[in-house]
Amino acid sequence: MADFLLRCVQCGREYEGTAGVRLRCDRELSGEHGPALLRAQYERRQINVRTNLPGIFKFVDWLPTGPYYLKSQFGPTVVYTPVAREEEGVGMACGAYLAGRRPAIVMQNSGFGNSVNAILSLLNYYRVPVVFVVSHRGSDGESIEAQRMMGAVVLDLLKVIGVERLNIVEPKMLALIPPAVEQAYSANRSLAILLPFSFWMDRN
Amino acid sequence: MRRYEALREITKAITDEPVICNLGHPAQELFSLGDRPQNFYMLGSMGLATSIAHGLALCQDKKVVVIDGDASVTMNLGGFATIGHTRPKNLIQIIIDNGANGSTGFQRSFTAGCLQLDQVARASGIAQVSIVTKTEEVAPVITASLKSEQGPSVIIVRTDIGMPDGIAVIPLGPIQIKTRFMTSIRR
Repeated sequence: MADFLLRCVQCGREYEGTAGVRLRCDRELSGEHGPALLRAQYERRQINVRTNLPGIFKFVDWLPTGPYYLKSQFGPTVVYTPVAREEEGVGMACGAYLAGRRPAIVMQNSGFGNSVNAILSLLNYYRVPVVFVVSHRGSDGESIEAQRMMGAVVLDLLKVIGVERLNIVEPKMLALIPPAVEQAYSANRSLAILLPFSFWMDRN
Repeated sequence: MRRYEALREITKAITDEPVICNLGHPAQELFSLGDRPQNFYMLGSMGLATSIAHGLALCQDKKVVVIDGDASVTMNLGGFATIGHTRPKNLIQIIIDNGANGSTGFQRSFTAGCLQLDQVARASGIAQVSIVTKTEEVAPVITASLKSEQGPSVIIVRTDIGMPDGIAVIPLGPIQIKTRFMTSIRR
C-alpha cells in the first residue's frame, strides 16, 4: 500500500489512511456536519502497477483501502482493465456480460458522446446491461468551460438513448446506488450513475 | 479466395470455441456455412466485434475467436492498443482483409492503400501476428493458434472482394443470439 491520507471534503479533517478501514468522517458520525465523501490524498504521484496481481489488485497501490478490505468487497475475481476509448469499453463490457459477469464502466460524461451507437445497437438491442459510473463534468463548480457543452445535455441524451439515470446531487443519495444497480442488472437495462463535479473536488 | 471461401476454411478449423462475428455480410455468410449457438452474430455497432471478444476472453478461460474485417478494425484501432496492454492468451483475432468496405459496395479501404494492420498489431505489443494469403493455409494457421498458449494472436487473411449470390439475412433476433450464446458459454 502506498501512504495516503483521507481528507473529509466537508470539513477538511484528515485521517491516516494506513490503519483499518474508514468510510466516513467522525464529525459526520457525531452530527457536526452532514454526509460527506472522504477523499484520498496520495503521498506519491507515480502509480506502481503490481503486474503479478490479478485484475483490479494490480492497482492496489492507488486504491485508498487496504488489500484485505478490497478483497472482502469485490473478491479476487474482479476483472479490471483500462480501455483506449469509451466505445471500446462498451464492446468489452458486452463481452464480459456474455461471460456471465456484471459489467461496469467508469468514465466521464463525454464518453457517452463517444458511445451512442454502441449503446443503442449493441447494449439496448441485445438487452445487455452495463452500469456507467460517470463524473458529471460541466455540473456546478466546473472550472473548464468546454466541459459545459456535454454536461448540459447529458441527462437529456441518456433519456433519448434509453439509459436509466441516477443523478446524485447530494451525498445522502449515495444510498440509492445499490438498489438501482440491482434493478439495472435484473431488468437488463443499462444505468448511468452521475456523480457531480463537486464530488471530485477538494474543497480545501 | 473470397471472404466466403476464407470463412469456409475458418469453420473447418474451429471446434467448440465461441466465435464473435462482424456484422453484415460476414455474419450472413458464416450463418449460411453452418449456424451454431456458439456464434455471436453482431447486428450493429460496427467496429466492436474484437472488443466484445476481448471482454469475453478476459472474463473466462475458453479460447475466443473473433472474425473481424479490415475496415471495421480500422474504425477501432485503439483496440490493438488495449489488447497489447492486457494480452489475453485466449484471444484469437481473425481479420478478413479484402481491402474494401464490403457491406456498402466494396469501396476501397485503407488497407488497399498504406495501412498495414499487422504492423499496427505488432507495434501495439501483440507478438503473434500472421498473414495468410493461400486458401489451404487458413485452417492450419488457425488450428495452430487454437492449440497455442502464446496468445493473443492476430491472423490476417487476405482475400479478394466479392461474395456469392443468394446469401440471406440471418433469421435470428438479437435476444435469441445472445441467450443461446450465453447458454453455450456456460457449458
